[in-house]
Amino acid sequence: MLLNQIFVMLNIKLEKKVKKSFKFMKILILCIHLIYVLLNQIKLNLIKMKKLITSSIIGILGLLIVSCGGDKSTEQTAAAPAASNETAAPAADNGNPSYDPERGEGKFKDVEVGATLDVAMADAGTKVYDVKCSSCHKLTDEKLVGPGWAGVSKRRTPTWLMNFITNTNDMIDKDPELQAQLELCLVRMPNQSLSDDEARQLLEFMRKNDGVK
Amino acid sequence: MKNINYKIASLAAICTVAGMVSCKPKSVENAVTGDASVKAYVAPGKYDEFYNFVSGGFSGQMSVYGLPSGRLFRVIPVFSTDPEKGYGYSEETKPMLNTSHGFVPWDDLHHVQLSKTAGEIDGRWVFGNANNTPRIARIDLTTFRTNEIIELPNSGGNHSSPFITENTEYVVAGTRFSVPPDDANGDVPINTYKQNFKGTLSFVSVGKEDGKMDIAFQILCPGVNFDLSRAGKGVSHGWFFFSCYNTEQASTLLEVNASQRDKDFILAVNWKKAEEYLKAGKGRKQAVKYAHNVYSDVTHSATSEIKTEVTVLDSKELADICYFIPCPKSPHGCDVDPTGEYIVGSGKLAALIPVFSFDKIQKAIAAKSYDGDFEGIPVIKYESALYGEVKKPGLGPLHTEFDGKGNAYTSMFVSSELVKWNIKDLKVLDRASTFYSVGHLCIPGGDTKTPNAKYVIAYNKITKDRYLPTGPELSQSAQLYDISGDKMQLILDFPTIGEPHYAQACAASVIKDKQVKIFKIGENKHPYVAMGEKEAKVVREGNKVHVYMTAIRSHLTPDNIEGIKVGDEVYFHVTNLEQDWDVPHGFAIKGASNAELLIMPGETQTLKWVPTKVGISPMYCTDFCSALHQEMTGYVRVSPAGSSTPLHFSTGTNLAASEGSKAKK
Repeated sequence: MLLNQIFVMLNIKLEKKVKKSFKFMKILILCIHLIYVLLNQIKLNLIKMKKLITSSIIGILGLLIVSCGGDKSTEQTAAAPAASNETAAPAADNGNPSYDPERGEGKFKDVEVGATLDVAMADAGTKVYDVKCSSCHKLTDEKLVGPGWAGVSKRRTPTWLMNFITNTNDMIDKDPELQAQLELCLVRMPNQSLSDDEARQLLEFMRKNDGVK
Repeated sequence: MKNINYKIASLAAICTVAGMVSCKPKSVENAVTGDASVKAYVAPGKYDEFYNFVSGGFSGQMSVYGLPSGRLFRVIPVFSTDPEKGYGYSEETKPMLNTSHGFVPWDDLHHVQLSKTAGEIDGRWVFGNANNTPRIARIDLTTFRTNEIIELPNSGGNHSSPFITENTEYVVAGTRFSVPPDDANGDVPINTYKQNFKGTLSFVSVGKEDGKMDIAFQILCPGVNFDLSRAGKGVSHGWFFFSCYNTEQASTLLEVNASQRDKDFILAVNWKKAEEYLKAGKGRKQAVKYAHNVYSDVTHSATSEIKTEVTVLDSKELADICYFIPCPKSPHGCDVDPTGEYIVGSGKLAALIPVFSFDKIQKAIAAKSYDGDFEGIPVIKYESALYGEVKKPGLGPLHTEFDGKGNAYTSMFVSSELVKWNIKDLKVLDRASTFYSVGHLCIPGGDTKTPNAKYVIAYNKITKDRYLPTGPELSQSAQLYDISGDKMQLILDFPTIGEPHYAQACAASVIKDKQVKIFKIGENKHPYVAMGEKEAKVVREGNKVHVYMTAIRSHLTPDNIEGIKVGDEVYFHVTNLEQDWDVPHGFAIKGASNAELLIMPGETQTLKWVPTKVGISPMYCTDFCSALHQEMTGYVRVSPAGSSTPLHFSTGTNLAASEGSKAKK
């Protein structure tokens, strides 16, 4: 294309020009640099002044709203998905008074289980276990990646279990025992995207595993 | 404080004036004003306001950036293999790159188009064109993966593509290199261009729901070079406009021979009329061969089908489909304003920009205001189609985007600048230098009915002194300008992959909330899926060995495999059992002659491995997945060809050799 030729010509012209005005540009650049430094200092002073005023305002406001939680940006950091992939220290919400260690945290409030086993449900739970859980959990008390499941339905309330397997990330961040468990296993339990039905079936399967007839 | 501000302002003014007097802002020290960094700054942990889909040119891929930060999020493999993602290397993705010429691992992706509904970006798909071996790809914006590629017969280089109509009825492809039709004897002297070479325009229909592409019809045209195109919209919906150069019909030294005529053409195509002819059975069925490749997110596999027929409408025989409009000096861009009334031609060697009026074109056709014909197609009189000319816009006008406020922005390749001008009075309003040699430009929604004109981005061919040098080849780049005010303000430079040609941008909100986070394992219909570790196994069929493997943090099952022999074809079908977002697993094995696999949660992907050496081959997960990622490994024992080592696989229980042999007895 002709374009290329024109462009090459233009370039040569440009470079000649640049060479000629090189000396002058050097001086100019120096000038600009000095002005820039000066400007920056003025800016810095301005920012300092602003900061002083803002921080005192924030201080006063802060006194008024002590009870509020962290601001948005820190919340976002705590919930960052990166934390679920790597070991990152669990973002402990120590002294979180709203957390109920019996119920856990999640959408389930009072999960009721029958006195006897719902066999159909437990069988469906077997399939869920095979696909989504068995890679890491044995049915005995032996630890594989995570703890074995023997006795789990007796150690934990049904509501806590249902919440944990469906709201895994939040629970690991908040439950003191899960945080202790994480220190042992070093792998955060993945959220396996269980539906409510699958979660309930799994709970029945855990009960079956613990001898409920 | 007011006093200080005043001082700053006056200093800045002095500085600017001094700068302007001395030389044009054509060097690295260009006039980037103080608040530029604030405008382009997106704080860590915050989202960008726009997605920017940028063609990767000769990389064959498409990249995704955030605006205004210029941060690179993803490189989507489209027409070139990508060992990082296993694209074109896994057994499942190899068919995506199949063509009538066989497996083609590279291409040149020039233009991108986001799907539209009612002339607005709907965020469902983005299309890309292959300029070398003519193809169109459709990328699904819920997965950001290439889901479909269709090859184009009767074409010699698909450049004026993949531009789409306002409801994504069609995505078009105009051949840049005219060639003899596929069913003709192509073994002809090259200097018989005028007799034997033809141009074709393909209209590829797009399924309303599933986006599936199909060549609805092709329009046979005189042999010229079709360069760019745009669909009409609003008043001009139903029409398509293609720029043409080389109306000299040269086949050698086009640099000179295709630049002879004072005017080439913009071809106006009445595709609604073409549809009527198609319905009336006026098309000719032509025997051709082209590949149609579709990826399924259910089987997690692609299929490639070779199709053998296409319907061709002859523009010479069928009246009222095609009209040529003279356009000065080898037009490149051919862009339609938000109302659909104005068509901007950019003669890349012209010193003016002609703006055509759709209304006048219609009247000229009705009044048969023609200047003869070109190979049987009427040529409308220049003045009868012309709304007006933008005088002295700059040198080398290429492409135009619109702000929806009555203004157009045109890129100037030779004079390296963006020029803002008013469509009604054709007056130049502002100029901004680019560094250097801008090709395409993009305004978010800049080709829609209602552009979101906050920024314009220049995509440059040359960076010269803009970045730290990296040997003979330097980065190509994009430059972001704030256009919320009257004047363009340069606020950011960012490097791009390959060569950026056209790009499009849209509000993040249109796309970000419909992302697929995982593939549901229960819905995985891959023929070699392992639904849980219970189904992990190794099956030998002659010299083919299928390994049904699972991956979950942090082990592979099986992770000990014995009984593989030199020369076996081993297929590792790895299912990622994870069901959580952002937890892919990788898979690699020593000596594999292809690449790694990168397997998304709930997905199955297959790596073929043909061991060539006796010994132990380690395999491992390549994508850091957990604290015990380094433990996510395994071994394959390779025995000599013809040996009798029994097939054996396990995880966690492999017995020592002596115990193993005892146990077997």
